[in-house]
Amino acid sequence: MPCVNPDGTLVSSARKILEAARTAGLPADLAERSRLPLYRVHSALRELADAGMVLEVDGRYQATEEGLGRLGAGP
Amino acid sequence: MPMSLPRLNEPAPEFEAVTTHGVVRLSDFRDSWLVLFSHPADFTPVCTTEFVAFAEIYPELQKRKVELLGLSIDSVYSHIAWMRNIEERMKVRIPFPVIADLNKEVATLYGMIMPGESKTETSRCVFIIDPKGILRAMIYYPMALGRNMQEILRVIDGLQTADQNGVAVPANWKKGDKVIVPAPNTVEMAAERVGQGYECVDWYLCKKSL
Repeated sequence: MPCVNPDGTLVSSARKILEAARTAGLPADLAERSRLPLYRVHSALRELADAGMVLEVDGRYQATEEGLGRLGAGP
Repeated sequence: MPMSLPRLNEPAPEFEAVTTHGVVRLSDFRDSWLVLFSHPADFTPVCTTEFVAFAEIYPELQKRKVELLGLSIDSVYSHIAWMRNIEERMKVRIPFPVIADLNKEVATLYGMIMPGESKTETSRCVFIIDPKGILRAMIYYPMALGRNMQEILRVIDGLQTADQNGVAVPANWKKGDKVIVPAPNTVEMAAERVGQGYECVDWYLCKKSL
């Protein structure tokens, strides 16, 4: 899974997207906040959502407790 | 899967593929222009010069809101090794994702394999897809000929200029040159064209500056 290293830690782009998703936002908002290309954000959000780290409501994504917990766990 | 050829001005075929930047779908690029291109194989000389050249025009593409997505029938590990080699040997970082199309799914969908050239490698194809996912241009080069990056930029400039201004662009046009006013469709429109300040060779061929 490209968002998560084999040791379970998040890759840096996933951390940036989760940080950006502390406040709910559209993928374009998260791309702007994280300074990542929009396609990377779309791709990562699918994986993060599958892993329960972000939740999508009406097209807006927000980090879940699980996602925030992973952020707190360090790189 | 039978080989297909996409068509201009129709939706570009959707796909989901493993890339050097994770799993991406064509729809992930919605709202950006996209240059989807294929190369025959990693660690080959002409392709290496092309990847360096694509990386060099990447900042110009970004100014035009264009993303790049490469493809070949190689594994993601081969792509990673090749890109690391390019960075190490040529000091050029490849900033865009590259599809590892080992099962030829995307290559088949887009008609990137020319059996007369090779049954196992993709030719040098370029597909320009607009922000709505519509295929707007296709350019095919043979394996022995590296692509001209300035032509790819020129095609994007031409398409964006045509879209934004409702015009066409003439042969050898480059950004800043005069553009072609669409030909009139009726006798009345042809008559009214006279005196509108265009630079006309005749009623059907008029240019203007933007």
